[in-house]
Amino acid sequence: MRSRPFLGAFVTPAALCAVALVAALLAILQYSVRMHVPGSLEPGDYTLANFVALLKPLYARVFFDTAWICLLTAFATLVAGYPVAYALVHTKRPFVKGLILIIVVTPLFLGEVVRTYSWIIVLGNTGFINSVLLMLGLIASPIQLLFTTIGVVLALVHVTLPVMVVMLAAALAHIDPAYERAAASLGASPLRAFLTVTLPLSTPGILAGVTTAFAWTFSAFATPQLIGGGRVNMVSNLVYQLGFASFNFPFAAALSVAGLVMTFALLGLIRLGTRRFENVTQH
Amino acid sequence: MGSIALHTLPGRLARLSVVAVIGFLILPPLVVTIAAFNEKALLSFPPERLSLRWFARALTYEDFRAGFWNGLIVTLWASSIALAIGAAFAFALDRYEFRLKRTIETILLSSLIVPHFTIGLGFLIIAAQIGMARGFTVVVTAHVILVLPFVLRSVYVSLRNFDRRLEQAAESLGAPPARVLLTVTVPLLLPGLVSGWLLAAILSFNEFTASLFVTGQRTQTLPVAMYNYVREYADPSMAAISVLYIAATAALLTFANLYLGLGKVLNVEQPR
Amino acid sequence: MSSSRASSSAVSLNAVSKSFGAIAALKATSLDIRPGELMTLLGPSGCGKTTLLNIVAGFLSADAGDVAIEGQRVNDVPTFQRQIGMMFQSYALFPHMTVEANVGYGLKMRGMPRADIHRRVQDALVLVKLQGLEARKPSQLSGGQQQRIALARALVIEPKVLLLDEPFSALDKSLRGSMQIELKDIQRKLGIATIFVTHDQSEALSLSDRLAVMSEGVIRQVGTPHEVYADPADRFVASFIGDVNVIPGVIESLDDGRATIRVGNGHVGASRTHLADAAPGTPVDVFVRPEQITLAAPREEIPLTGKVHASVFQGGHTDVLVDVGVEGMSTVLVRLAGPAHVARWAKGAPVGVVFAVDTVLAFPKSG
Repeated sequence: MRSRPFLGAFVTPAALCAVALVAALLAILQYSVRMHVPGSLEPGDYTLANFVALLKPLYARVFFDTAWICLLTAFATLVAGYPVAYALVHTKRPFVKGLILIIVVTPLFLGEVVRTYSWIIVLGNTGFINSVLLMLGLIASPIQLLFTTIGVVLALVHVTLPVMVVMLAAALAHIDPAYERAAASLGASPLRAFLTVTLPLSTPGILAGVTTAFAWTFSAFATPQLIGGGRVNMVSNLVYQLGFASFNFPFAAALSVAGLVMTFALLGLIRLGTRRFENVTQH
Repeated sequence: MGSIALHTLPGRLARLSVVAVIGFLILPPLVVTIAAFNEKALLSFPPERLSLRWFARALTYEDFRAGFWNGLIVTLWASSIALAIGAAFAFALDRYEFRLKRTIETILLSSLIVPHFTIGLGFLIIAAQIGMARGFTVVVTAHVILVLPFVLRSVYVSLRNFDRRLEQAAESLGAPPARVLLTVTVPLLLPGLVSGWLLAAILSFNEFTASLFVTGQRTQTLPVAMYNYVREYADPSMAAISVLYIAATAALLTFANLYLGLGKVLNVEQPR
Repeated sequence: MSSSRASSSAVSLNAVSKSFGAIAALKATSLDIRPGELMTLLGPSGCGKTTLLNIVAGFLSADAGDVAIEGQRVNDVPTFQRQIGMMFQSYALFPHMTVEANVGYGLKMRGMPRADIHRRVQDALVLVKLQGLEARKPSQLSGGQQQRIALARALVIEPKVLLLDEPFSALDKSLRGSMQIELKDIQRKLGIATIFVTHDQSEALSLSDRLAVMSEGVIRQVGTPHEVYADPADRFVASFIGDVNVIPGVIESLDDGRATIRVGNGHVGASRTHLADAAPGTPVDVFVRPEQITLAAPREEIPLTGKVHASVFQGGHTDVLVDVGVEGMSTVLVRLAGPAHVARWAKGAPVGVVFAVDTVLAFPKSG
């Protein structure tokens, strides 16, 4: 082995960060099995009551809704994102490429609050969509878009679309265009070539994109909070409510733990499903 | 254009869907911009009269001002610390085998998947347990951990594309390791380092959910101040500050695209 | 820069070995490079030549054995203290520095005053005939210019040994020849011990004072280009250096230094160097270079007869491929000097293959 200059100095700070992150997660785990003492921020004795309480229909319902919204968003984002990613990678004109890139990527860096706020203006009863439809005479009275699952999903798709496009484009950019040309030379129409060659080869990107979209949606707080307005609730909203309205940190911690478990379980299922799909296509 | 010819039906549908999605993406910022110039205090479309009064109000609103400066402090500290830690670790990841290498990497990258409210709650509990006030230290620590994966990735990609023979050449010419690092490695990695830092800074400045948990009245960052404003008021001041936000971000990204090549940073360029 | 140790080696490797996991890249290898000589490490990819060079440079450390530079053991000396000059395959010029800064880099690392650096850089640029480009960046230079800068950068620090890692592989074929001559001139003028790694045998033959032919982590033969070409140590060296026909034959008789070998209907003599333990009747392979045979009209006592498969005009010479009906080989390559052979040996013409020398190489049949 040659010497490894700077090894200790370069790894130690990162290791400390990892320790801090693990400590934060362990703190949550610890709180999740402690009793809530009303009126006190200090938790009480060890108990499993928090997890038992999670099974109440009220909370189970929130978990179910959250999973549904996450899956819907991830799927819609994939369908909407793929053509854009394809165009981004394959356009020859640098100006168009730069434009698509800026338009796609800007929302990624805008932050949840600004994006959510702009959707309130788009979806509200006196907002953009209703005003336009009323003006055109297509509707007689405003349709309810805010405080609905559809509204929340629309805004969430807007939040996750950039990262999906970036991940798909990264995968597509690394597929040698010679494969599609080879398929064409063998008689495949452009569509067939795309469906039989490019699409299967981009599976890793699809997987990465769906996984990230799912995790981001699950993590979203301001969007369901403001657009859902209390009528569409996700796990994140419940955690915040319990923590900052009832100061029941142990139960908030238990919800977080359950949320983490659910995320990893669903991501594991998606991966498992894709692997099976890959096995099928390889025959 | 792309390999799917555009005059075919699938080609046309594909192009149409791209245009539709692009429209979907720019609609909200566009609507916000129009709303920001509306003179009336209530949101409505289309605006009857235009005015700049909401910009004036947004810029003088005390919570926004304080939030901006707090956010700047947090962002500068968090992104710079994350750059130093992330770049150093990316270097070690690329070059060396060491104990717990994969473990540390997996833990650090997991902050991409673990929800921000979970991380926020965790740091809130820790701060409470060790009796720490909700000061900047907690906020900056949480932000460093949240943006670290992006710095790590950006620098790691640059290191992968880095020709190690340049370092060997410097070494063969008599440069000891520290001088190789300072005269060859760091200057050549500069674009990756700058883009990593920029990415981290933008993300930190915009981070909301975790910040909501770990900031207090005194350390409240701009997104948190904006969130609180939306909950209390409905006037277009929020639209005005959003417009400023959107313009600043788009300008930064255009700069990044021109000078650093955003495509390369995001790894979406086709390799030649 | 003294020549008091002229008798000792510039670089000496003693039983050096290196493995990567289960793969033995270099097996207990010893080699001495004399002061001022250009030693080539030649072999196919994966033969261990680059591993050997990297061990001398200090980029890899040997698992066992000793490396010495000018008599000093350097196993534990890091690269930056070894006083070597190295030229890399793609030159590895620092893209963020000017030509001047690139060439002066090693001197700066040695703490030399700025004015002296400038003077020495100028001298080095004169040496490689590239003045006036000091302010350019490497990306603004042609491939040939980049190579000269890389050479200047390696030489300006007056290294104890110059290491060249396939330095010509990135150049056009037309430029390669003239750069090779120039490099050899400079190397001879400075009298600097040089290790040159290549997989190109013609490059090795034309440049080297001596060369080491390697395969599978072992040095097969060390010698002057002529020795290695004319008197290869084994079957590998014989077939790796230059074109060669391998023709089956049988030992007919043996006397003191020579063997007589029956090939087809004819005979040819061979030295006994590689046939020490052989007895009459032993099957052997005769190694014969394309220029060591010639063509004639087919007759009874001619070793091999057949039909012309193809005649290829190569400018200065003509390559004729002959189909011979011998088990274990299909065609024989014959190289005829002069341009007038294509018409005479047309495709399909019956032809006889005749040995043009009376001593060829023969090895016992392998396996």
